[in-house]
Amino acid sequence: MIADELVCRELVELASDYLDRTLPPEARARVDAHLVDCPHCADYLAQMRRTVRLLGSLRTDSLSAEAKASLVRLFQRSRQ
Amino acid sequence: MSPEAPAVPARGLATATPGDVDGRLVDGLRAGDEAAFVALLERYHPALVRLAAMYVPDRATAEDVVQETWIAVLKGIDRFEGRSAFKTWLYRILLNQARQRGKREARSVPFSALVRAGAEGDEAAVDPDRFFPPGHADAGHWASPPREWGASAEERLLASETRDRITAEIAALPPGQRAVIELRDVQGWTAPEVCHALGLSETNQRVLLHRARSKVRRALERYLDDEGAPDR
Repeated sequence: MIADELVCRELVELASDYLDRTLPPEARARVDAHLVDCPHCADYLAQMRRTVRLLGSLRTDSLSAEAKASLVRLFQRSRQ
Repeated sequence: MSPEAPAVPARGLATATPGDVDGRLVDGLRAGDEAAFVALLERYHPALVRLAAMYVPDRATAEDVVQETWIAVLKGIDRFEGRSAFKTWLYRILLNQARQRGKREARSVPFSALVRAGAEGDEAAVDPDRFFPPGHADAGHWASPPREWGASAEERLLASETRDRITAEIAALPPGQRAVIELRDVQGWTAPEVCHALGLSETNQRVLLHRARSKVRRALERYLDDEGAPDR
């Protein structure tokens, strides 16, 4: 084993920065090197990526009819 | 809408550039166009309420704060010069309103104190027990690796129950983690926007986001691992 070889326990702490491409190049290279031999960490990263995508699909809260009506009244009053 | 409006939406004060939806809506709002106001409400109101809710004790107060924000927008829109993005201007108004209200209610802890990464403890992204312990030949490598989320998992991930699980998991996060994951991953803000709005350093923002995402992933993993068990 190489001294500065990344272990899985360390890789999971870099997962978010890795996916966001905010890791410094040399750390990114260490992650990439680890992934070549570690399908488990590849699975882990795939799960994190999927998680982030699911979070992005949550944005469904829409404007309630009630809130809309009262704000539109405010708008109309502001125009008078 | 005036009949001579087809190509150029507004005169004089126009701030819109092509493809700039907010700029066009702001021009419409200045011209007194109710539809433009409604479009801005639809774009921003739900996100504003979610953000305000992080500063004040309950949802009703959050709705109030957002209402006051829109009143300030309507009053100030003629003075808005378009030097910053409308979104930035809007969120600045919201955060001022929310902070004032939080102070008045005297129940809120200063947000900056809540969101310091250190204040939310040192947490591992993955339970340390899932790796081989120090001294083991494979120390630090997976002892209990994650299972690939295949086609059957995908079906469950897309179910509405999964979304409820994620929403519940976000609600249970400490406030700083909750605010950052909400704004970054749910609302799609950039890291600098989040740092600016919440008064966080770039490092704290990244740490909070990482912890929050790690917990949501863990919750999903647990949920999918129940797969073998019948639903009811």
